Formats: sequence, C-alpha cells, structure tokens
Amino acid sequence: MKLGIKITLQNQVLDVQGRAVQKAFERDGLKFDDCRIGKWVVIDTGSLDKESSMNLIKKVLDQGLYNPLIETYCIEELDNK
Amino acid sequence: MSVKPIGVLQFPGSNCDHDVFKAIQRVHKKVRMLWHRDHLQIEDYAGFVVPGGFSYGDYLRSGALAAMSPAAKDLMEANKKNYPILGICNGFQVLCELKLLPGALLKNESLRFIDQWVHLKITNANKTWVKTEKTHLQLPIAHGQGRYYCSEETLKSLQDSRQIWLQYEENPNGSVMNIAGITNKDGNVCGLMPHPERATADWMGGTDGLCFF
Amino acid sequence: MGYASSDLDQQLKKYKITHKEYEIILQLLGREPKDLEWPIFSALWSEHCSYKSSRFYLKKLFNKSDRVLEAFGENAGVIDLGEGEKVAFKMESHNHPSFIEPYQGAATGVGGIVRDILTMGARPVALANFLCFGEPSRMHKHVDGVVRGIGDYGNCVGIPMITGRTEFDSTFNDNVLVNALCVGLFGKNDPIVSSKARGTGNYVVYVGAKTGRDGVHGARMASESFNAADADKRPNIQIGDPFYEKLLIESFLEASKKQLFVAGQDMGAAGLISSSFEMASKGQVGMTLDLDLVPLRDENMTPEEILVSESQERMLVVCEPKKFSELQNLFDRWDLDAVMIGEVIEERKIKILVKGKVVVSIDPDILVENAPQFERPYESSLKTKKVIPKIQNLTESLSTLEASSKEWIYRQYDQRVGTQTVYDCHEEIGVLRLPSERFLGVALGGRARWMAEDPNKGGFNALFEPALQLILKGIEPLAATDCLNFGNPERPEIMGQFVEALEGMNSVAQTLSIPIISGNVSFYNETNRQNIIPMPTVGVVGLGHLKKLPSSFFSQEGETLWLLETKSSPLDFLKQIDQWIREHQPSYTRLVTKQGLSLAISRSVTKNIGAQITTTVNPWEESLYQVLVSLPPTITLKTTENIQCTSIGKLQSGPLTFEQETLDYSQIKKLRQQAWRQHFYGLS
Repeated sequence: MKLGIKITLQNQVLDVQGRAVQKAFERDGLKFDDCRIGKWVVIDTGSLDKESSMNLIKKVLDQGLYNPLIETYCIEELDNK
Repeated sequence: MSVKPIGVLQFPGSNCDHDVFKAIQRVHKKVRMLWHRDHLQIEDYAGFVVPGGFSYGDYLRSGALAAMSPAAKDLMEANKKNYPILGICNGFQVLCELKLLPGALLKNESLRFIDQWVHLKITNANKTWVKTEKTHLQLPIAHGQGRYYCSEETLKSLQDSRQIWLQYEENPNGSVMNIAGITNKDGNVCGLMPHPERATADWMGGTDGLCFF
Repeated sequence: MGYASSDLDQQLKKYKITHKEYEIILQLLGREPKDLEWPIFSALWSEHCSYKSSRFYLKKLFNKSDRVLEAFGENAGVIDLGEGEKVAFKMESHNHPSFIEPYQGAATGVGGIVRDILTMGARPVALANFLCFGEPSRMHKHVDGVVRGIGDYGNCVGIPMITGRTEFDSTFNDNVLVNALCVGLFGKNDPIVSSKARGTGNYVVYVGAKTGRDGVHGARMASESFNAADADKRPNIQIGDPFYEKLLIESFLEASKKQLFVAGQDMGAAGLISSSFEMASKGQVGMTLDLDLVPLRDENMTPEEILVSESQERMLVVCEPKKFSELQNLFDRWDLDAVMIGEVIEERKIKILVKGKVVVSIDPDILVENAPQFERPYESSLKTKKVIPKIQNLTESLSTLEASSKEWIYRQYDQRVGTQTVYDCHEEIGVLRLPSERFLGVALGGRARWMAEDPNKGGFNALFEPALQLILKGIEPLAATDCLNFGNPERPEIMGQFVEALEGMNSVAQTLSIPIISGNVSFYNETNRQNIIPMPTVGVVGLGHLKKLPSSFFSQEGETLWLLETKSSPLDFLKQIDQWIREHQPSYTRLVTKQGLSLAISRSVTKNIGAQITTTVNPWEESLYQVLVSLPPTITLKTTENIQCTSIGKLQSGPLTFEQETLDYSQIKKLRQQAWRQHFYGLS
C-alpha cells in the first residue's frame, strides 16, 4: 500500500526556509502570516497489509527518515492509484 | 566615445558579486553593481551579469526567490532588446527560473557540494561573452545544485539550435549530456555553472577566465 | 524569606550553581538572588561564559607583541600587518552540540565564530576547521552531519575554507570535537569596532533574527558532561541560518563603515544576557533593557526564556539617537529588524523591564568582572603511550586511515569564493592573497598522539608544528589562537593536563615571539566518567616574505631531496630552517608528520614528478622533527649543531621508487582514496 509521510519541523524550531520565502513574497506585495516548509515522502510498501506497512514505516522513520530532535511527522494512507 | 558599463546584479545572499566585479575590472571593462530592488536602466548598460552565490540561501529552489525581484524581472525586457546577459552558477539558476534559458539545475547526483577544477569543451563557441580561439578551458566549479536537466524534447532542440555551449570532459554532477553551460537561441543569453571569475590569475590556479566578459 | 534547604538545593541544581558560588552571590548582593537574577548568574557564571576554571592559568599565556592590537578581553585577537592592513582571528569550539546534533551543531559553530570576527568590524575572509572523531565505524552519522553542516553554512555565507585537520581516535567516541577558526580582514585603515557601551542616552539596539526558544540554556549545556540520561537535552538545538548571517555581515559592515553605531557585540553564548552585561561592564556604564520590545518568534516566551535564548544571527549595538533612523533604514534594506530595546544610562546598573516594571537592577560588574575564578587543584597528568602498529611497506602505509585522502571532506567546502585563495585544503596550510598582494598564511596544530603521551610535549607541538609549517612556506608566524579541549576540570589529573599543555604551548610562544591572542576553552568533554585525552588545537597566522611560495608537492625534476632532522633543540632547528628558506627559496618543502618519511614523500608525488629515494633513516616512523626540502643539485646543505642534513634522493619525472616499491601518482591516489572509502563505505 502507499503511505504519504509529512515531515515538518517541530513548532518551536526556526524554519529558515519558510522565513525567507515569507519575506521575499512580502516584498513583492503578497503578505501572509507564516510559512513553514516540510517534506512529503511517499513510500510504497507493496503488498503488505496496513498493520505491517505501518510497522515498516515506523521503523524507517526511527532509523533516520526523520530527525526526532527537530522534526515531527504524520502518516497518511494514500489511495492505490 | 564613452563605453557603457556592464551591470552586475546583486541579491541578498550573492557571494560572487564582488569577485565578478573585480574580474570584469581586470579585463579593463567599466562595471557597476545593481541592487535587486532597483529597476534596471537597461539603456545605460552594455550587458548584465548575474553572479554566483546563494541568493536567498537557495531556499525554496535555487534562484527562485531572486527571480522575483524587480531587477531580475527587468532582464526579460533586456533580453527582448537583445542585450547580452550572462548567468554564472547561481546566476545560471536565476536565468532558468526566469525562463530566459531552458531547463533547470538540480541537486548534484552525489547529493553533495563539489569544489574542484574541471576540464571543459567549448562545444559551440559564443562570441558575445567569450573571446578566445581555444577549444578547451579549465575552470573551477563549486556547487551543490549543478545537475543540468531538461526534457528530451528540449535537449534535441538545444542540439539542433547549437545552444549547447560548454560540456564537462568528466561529468561531476550528473548533468544531462555533460552540459556545463548553454545559450538561448539568439546567443545573447548565456549560462554556465563553472566560475570564470575564479580563474583570472596564475596564483588562483588558472587564467582561462580572462577570456570571459 | 529564605530558601528551605531542599528548595535551595533544587534551585542550585536547576541553575547549575555550586554552594560555594552561592555563598559568593550572597556576599556580592548582600541578599539572596531573586527571580531573573538566577538565570543571569547561571548563564554568565557558567564555565563557557566565565572561564572560571581556566582564567587563572590563561592569564599566564604570552600574549603581547608590537603587532598585537587586541588580545584576550575582546571578541577576537587583532594583529597589525602594516600597510594599513590588519586581521582579526579566533578559533572556537562547538563540541557538545555537535555530538548531540552533528549538522546543526557544526553549522552554528561556524556561525558563532564568524560573528565573533564580524563584531570586531572585520569582513570574514577565511575559515579553517579542526575535527576530532572517534572510531570510523561508530562515527558515520557524525562525520556526515558535521561535514555537511560546516559545508552548508560556510558555502552559503560565502567564506572559503582554506585549511583543515581531522583526527580519529577512540578517545573521541562519545565526545567529538568541532573547532572552527575564522579570519577577518579590516578595510584599509578602518577602525576596530568597540564592544564598550557608552554615551548616556544612547539607544541599545537589537539587530537581526527574532528571538525564539532555540538553544535556551545552551551555555549551560556546554559546561557540563554527558551522562546516560541525555534525552532532556533535546530542546536545546540551535538552528543556524547562513543566509541570514550573510545579510548580517553585509549590513553590519556597511553600518560600521558609515559609523552609525558606537559599539557592537554579537549575541552568542547566553544571548542577550552576555552581550548586554559585557558591553555595559566594559564600558563602565549601565543599561535599561525592555524585554517587551525584544522581537519574538513566539509571543508566549517567558522573560527568562527571552534572556537566555541562543537564537542565532543576532547582534546588539549602541547608537546615538540621531543616527538611529539611518541605522534602521540600512538594516531594513537588507531585510533585517533593528529595534530599540533600551538605553545607556549613567548609573552602573542593568535594569531589566517586564511589562513596564523594573524586575532586575544589578551591577553588571558583579556578573562579569567578579565572576568566580578558581585556581583548581591539579596533579601530575596521566600519560599514555600509544601503540603504533608497525608498518613495513608503502602500500600498507597508504592504506591506513591516517594516510587516507581527506578529499571526501574538503571537496564539500567552497575553497575559492572571494577569489583570494592561493593555497587551499590540498596544501598543508591555507594561504590568502591580501589586497596589498602580500600572502597571509593560516596553519593548524594539535596531535592526539603526542598529547596522550605527554601533555607538555603535546602542548609544545600544538604551537610549534603549525609555526614550522608556516615557516616552511616562507611565512613568518605572527600570532596564534587556540581551542583548549579538555575533560572535567574538577578532576585534578585533568587540570594537570591543562596546566602542563599550556606550559608547553607557552614555551614556544615566548621563545618564538608568537603571542596567543584569542581562543576558547572547552571543558567537560567527558562521558560517563570517561574523559578525552587533552586536545588543545592551535591556529597560527602569519605574513609571507617570499615572492613565490614553496609548495608541498614535487615540481622540479632533477633536484636533490634533502631530509633535515632536529639534533637537540627544536626551537633552534626551526630558526635555522627559517634562515635557509629565506636564503635558498626552495620550490618544495614539507614537514614530515604522521607515519614518518614514507607517507610524506608519497603525498608529495604529482602527476609528472616522482622521486628516487635511497635512505638509511627509518621511513616508517614519525620522529620529531623532520623536514623535507628539494634544492638544485648545485646546492649542498651541511649538517650543523642543530640540524642533521642528509641527501636522500632525487626528483625524477615518473613514479616514486622507494626501497623495493615503485608507485606512481595515480596508484598512490587510488590507495589513499580507497583507504577512506573502506572506513566510510556508505557515505556517498
């Protein structure tokens, strides 16, 4: 099955990319309050069922897909298209 | 008769702006620094150089935020009037974001920044920006996002229109067809990843950059 | 209202203040500390900020010469190079953060040292780094993270990396060392920026990034050892933004040139507290600080968090009210905030306001000038002789980790931005070409092996070796900086190492007249009671006197290769070598270091030029000190009372022929690259 993992910086961590993007667009006349930039990772676990897939993904995350010191994540089930 | 200066665009984060400025001076040309937020007085200049560095930290996409600035957008107007425009490294990335040059520069295949000297072949000479009879050059590269990419269709068009300007003898970053630099169809806009301004004296390690500008 | 004993203990533990220090505070204040005074004492009296364990001994270091304009007491050392030119330089450590979060730890380490140079009013023009890792198999994540962190930050901020050193030793398994050095160049005849606040009524202006929760209590983290339960260290990760730093560099230098402020200081360890207190104390003035005016990323920050935050890329400046508007406009042009957060006052007090009320009113000298200073007890240091594996042939030698090519590391650094680089990381030292067209050299020193064996010898070597490296390239050493990386200073044997190493370094400094004018102390490199071997690292800066620099690589076919060895006094050896370099101006010189003669010669081979070597000297072991020089065959060097001279071969076009082996340039290169890959397989 396909799972989408949204990896973002933890709320209290400074997002230097988001800050630069926000300021640049503001200079161009397009203002918004905040901008946070993260990563979208799509993993296809093949024919594994939901429980096994989740276990696999959790292992992948813990083994380094995300940095627990500064990042957080959430997992989404994606339609099998 | 007074010679018009070359304008060097300066963005927040440009690092090679002063290097390019000095290099152009070394080749006895008049040169002026242009701030990104000021509109270009196009007619006052002989041409424009977009220098290397990390404009806006390379955030979002390399060169993307710089391409939004008034000076960068004015380059489109300058191109319509056929003004010479040169993009070096980050500058090349900006010109691609502006669609003044086709394709895009992606992360190096190794996913690491590479600093080294490379051997280049001049595949199709461009007399606007380089005065030399040489067929090969040695210049330094220093980039993390130098992998040139374009669709197969675009690649064919580049070949047919002789827009492939420089190619690496040994591909350091995975660029399609070893492309190190390209030009637009009219040949007035050129972009390259290597840094000619870093090869303008023997003590720098090479002088092939002197035939630029 | 007194503290119940257990409450007091908890409070002291929370703020890492000892009972002894608490007694001193009671005396100085005449009462118990209250509210924000606790975090203020905690931050400023931490080891990292106050140097309480080391100041007593550091004062003994030789730190003066005709060229020294600024030494300890300022953010960086400054030396006069003549012709209107001067440079600022300093080395700093970021060890504990780099162990916890290698990428950000190393990146913010670079950011910090760059700001220390910037704050003097100098443009940062070169970087160097000294990295100490443990056994490769355990260090992939750290090597990868640290190198990428340093590279990404240095490259983006646009400062070239011109030299570096790495050491691998199991002693660093749980305590990596990341020492970063920065050199800054002042504009011709430009003044040095002062850090002394002055002028009653002048504005205290906050410049740069908004304050957030990053690195809250970071200075305390650097002042204590690791133990098993380190999960609570997690929120202390400082995030660096090299793009923002670049903006700060350009705007600060522009503002300095236009003389828009009278004093400036970067907000480094202990953030707003350290910068404001130090500026006020040095300037013998007071300040008001209104925390409600501090630009915040998170509106819910407490006053304490605001004070101790170590958000990066921030500076504090003092400017005259009439210049404030122009100052603000200048920073705004670079997309940076410049906000007035206080005023300079005559009364010698720092008054901190929260919601319009003064919550702290304290004499800055109490914190800065009167910070405790310990003459910690020490005993004779531990000495361990390292077991060096016996190497019998070139192929074996070139396949070791020590001999491995470090190109994987330094190819990730931009070594040429600024177009001033003459010698980069391929060479033994870094060299820049100044605007006056003279050469500025930078060399690093520090050898784990000699430190472990004898801290005094190791300390001597740490300053002697880079000085000799510079001299071999026709560069006169002018001044030095250091990073004193040691274990727990509360242990007498560690303090003994510290004292002995400093004595060794100082003997070189005094004899060769190389003042040690800036630096940093990193104590508590200890994990689960295991301390690192003493590891002071040194950076030496010098001015070239030759028109053409000798190279560490063979270039002249037919020249004779000479081996020069110390007979008795290394210092006399160095002086004689210096004389000969000036006289003969050789094209090739190289210091023999790790693994001795064989490796030094192999590394000197180029695509076109190798050598034919015949020697009776043991080529497989390092002995202090040996130097290689090539000279035209017409010149003969005679053994003197200080130097043993032996002709050991000839430079030839083609390969290296050594004892029974013949290897050419590409074979040597391949072996050394494989040696690296073998230990760091998996790192692309």
